[in-house]
Amino acid sequence: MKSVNVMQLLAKRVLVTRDSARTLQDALDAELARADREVAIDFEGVEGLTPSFVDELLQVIEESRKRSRHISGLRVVFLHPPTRLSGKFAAIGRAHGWLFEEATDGSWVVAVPAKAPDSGLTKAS
Amino acid sequence: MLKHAGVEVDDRGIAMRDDRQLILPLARFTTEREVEQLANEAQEQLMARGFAASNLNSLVSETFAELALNAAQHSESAIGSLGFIQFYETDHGNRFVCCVADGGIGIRSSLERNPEIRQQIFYDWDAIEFAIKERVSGTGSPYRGIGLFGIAEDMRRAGRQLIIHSGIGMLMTTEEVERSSTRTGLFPGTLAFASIPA
Repeated sequence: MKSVNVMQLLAKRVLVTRDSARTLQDALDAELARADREVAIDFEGVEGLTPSFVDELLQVIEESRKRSRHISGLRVVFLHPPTRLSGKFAAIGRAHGWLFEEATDGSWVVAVPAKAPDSGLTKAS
Repeated sequence: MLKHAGVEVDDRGIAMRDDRQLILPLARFTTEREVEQLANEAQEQLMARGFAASNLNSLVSETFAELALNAAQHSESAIGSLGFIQFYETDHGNRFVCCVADGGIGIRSSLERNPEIRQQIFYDWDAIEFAIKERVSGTGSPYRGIGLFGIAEDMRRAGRQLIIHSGIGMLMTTEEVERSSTRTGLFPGTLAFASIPA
């Protein structure tokens, strides 16, 4: 499976800022133009992720998807994530209306719905 | 560093510990980019020293990064923010300590920027309790407010501890005490302390 290699593009072991996630936009656009319903993002060599980085990455994926031909659902696979899928990352997915699941090989699989939900969020903030 | 910055520090009676090993020396930062740089420096040190398994190294650097990001994004501290990571070897076990502090507006004032929250918090300790809930943010964005919630969740595991002191409020969360908030002495800004057994 062809994938977006994060370490190659960002050369950082710990991904912290929203700006770093934005840097992946062009690569994601290109991958979505090529991909068929599934995009893989490879975190091999990355040792840490903050919720801010992951949240912005989901925003970037959503924007790339809107620009692409993928108007129906999309599957995003996070290969070699640095940690197990914890509650904080699942919470980020929930905020976007996306479901995070951990595959048996440790990958995180994100199901992106066909249409973004109408922000039916019961937001506390 | 505080004394160098002209701050009057009363450290009488506070003994210096000689069992500490610096992972990230006390550093001042103001921007998110600086936080990312510091977190990567810390991760390099953690990997080079080999004090703990790689997943714990990740937890330490991620915890520091998220606490520091909060300070850089929300504190509005005129003196910037300060943070360090140390490793302690003691008879009671080894542990990492991440600490971040600022001289800013405090959590209560930051959250009060969100009108929906303003009506729900009356004291500094209320504000800290609120801040560690999922998707609570002074920005009002439904996508924000995961970072501190995530740290609090991570620190509710065996032997871990998170203490947040902001204004005259303090909150502690551990595995045993889900969260305990109280009134305490004034800290002119916010201080966050995370302790993680190695």
